[in-house]
Amino acid sequence: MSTNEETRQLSHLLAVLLRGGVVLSALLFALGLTLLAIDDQPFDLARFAHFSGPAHVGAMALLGTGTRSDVTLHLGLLTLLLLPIARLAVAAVVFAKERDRLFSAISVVVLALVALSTALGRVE
Amino acid sequence: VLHTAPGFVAACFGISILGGILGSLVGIGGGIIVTPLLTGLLGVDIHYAIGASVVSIIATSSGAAASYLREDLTNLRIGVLLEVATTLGALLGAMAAGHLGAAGLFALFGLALGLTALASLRQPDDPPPAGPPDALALRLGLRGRFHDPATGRDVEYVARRVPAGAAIMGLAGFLSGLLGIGAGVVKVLALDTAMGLPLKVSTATSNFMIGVTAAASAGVYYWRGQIDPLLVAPVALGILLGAFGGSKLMPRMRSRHLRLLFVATALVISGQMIWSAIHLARGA
Repeated sequence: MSTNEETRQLSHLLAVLLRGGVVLSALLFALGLTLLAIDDQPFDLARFAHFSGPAHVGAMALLGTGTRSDVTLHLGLLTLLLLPIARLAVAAVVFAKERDRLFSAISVVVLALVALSTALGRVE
Repeated sequence: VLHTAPGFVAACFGISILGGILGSLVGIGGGIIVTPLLTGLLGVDIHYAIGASVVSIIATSSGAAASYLREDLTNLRIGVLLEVATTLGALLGAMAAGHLGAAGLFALFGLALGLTALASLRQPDDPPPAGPPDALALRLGLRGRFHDPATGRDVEYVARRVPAGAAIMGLAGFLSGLLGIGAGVVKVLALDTAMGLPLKVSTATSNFMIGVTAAASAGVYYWRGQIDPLLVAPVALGILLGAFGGSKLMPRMRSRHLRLLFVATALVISGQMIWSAIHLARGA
């Protein structure tokens, strides 16, 4: 029954982590959109009318050349993208604490598959 | 109005609140609702809409999952185990995306989804776990218990037909990687129909898995340049608010209402996908 209790604790730890991450990315998005309105940058709907390929990829490139609203929005985006990965990592750790080797190994396998998929996108 | 940044952002925001509420209530990412509205109403290129959709799926999943986890509706073991199948499927789907025609896949998916949704209408609410529990499920501890506020009773369950559930999950992941959707409807059908989990558990567990599967797809789309933060921000914010509202409603709703809402949504999505297929075939 202690295993059930630990699983319950894992659920609540994950809930706190997810809520915090979601709030953080929402705040960054709201701040970025506010900065966009304050800075009154020119906006062209054509930006989204035709897909132009990987021209504006990469937070690092933006940190050097992007506007402050672009950088803030991108940080919010990256926060959001990391949440499912953080979820898996926490699951792996707590399954390991429960001495559930099978399920901690399964969590690590899923993490590896997500990482592999990201690498495949870069190769493409 | 749409040609100013605040007008465009506000329109994306409104569409996304709607998608977030619907998506969270039935355990789908919401992106599949938002994508056709962004392209149809705002003239956004489908590539960017799909990119925003993938991120919004992660937002919905993470936002609603926090509530589901607190309600003890999510089964983490079942979720993590089946994520092996969904991420593997997403990987294959992303690789296959360049080799298969989108029109045929949209049509097949829309057709399969519509038929399955109609078939699920014939089932009684929360069918009792008929037949012997799966030996594999028992060995892996794929069981649980939750309190259902709608009936005021504790519900116990054991998963059944784990290999069949995993196979359907692999297909869901494949479609997710291929089309940039959550394919949460297929995930719910695997957990609910194939594995015999209570609808609320399957919806919450599906939500848990959708985020991880979408993260696998998002990696590909991010490096492809399909994810633009200016579009993603209002979409994700709207989805977050909608999903939050939806997750507050969900534990208080009776399964029958939830299922009817799910079937109606699935049929609308089915029609939308078949329409997209015809449109794509004509354009080709």
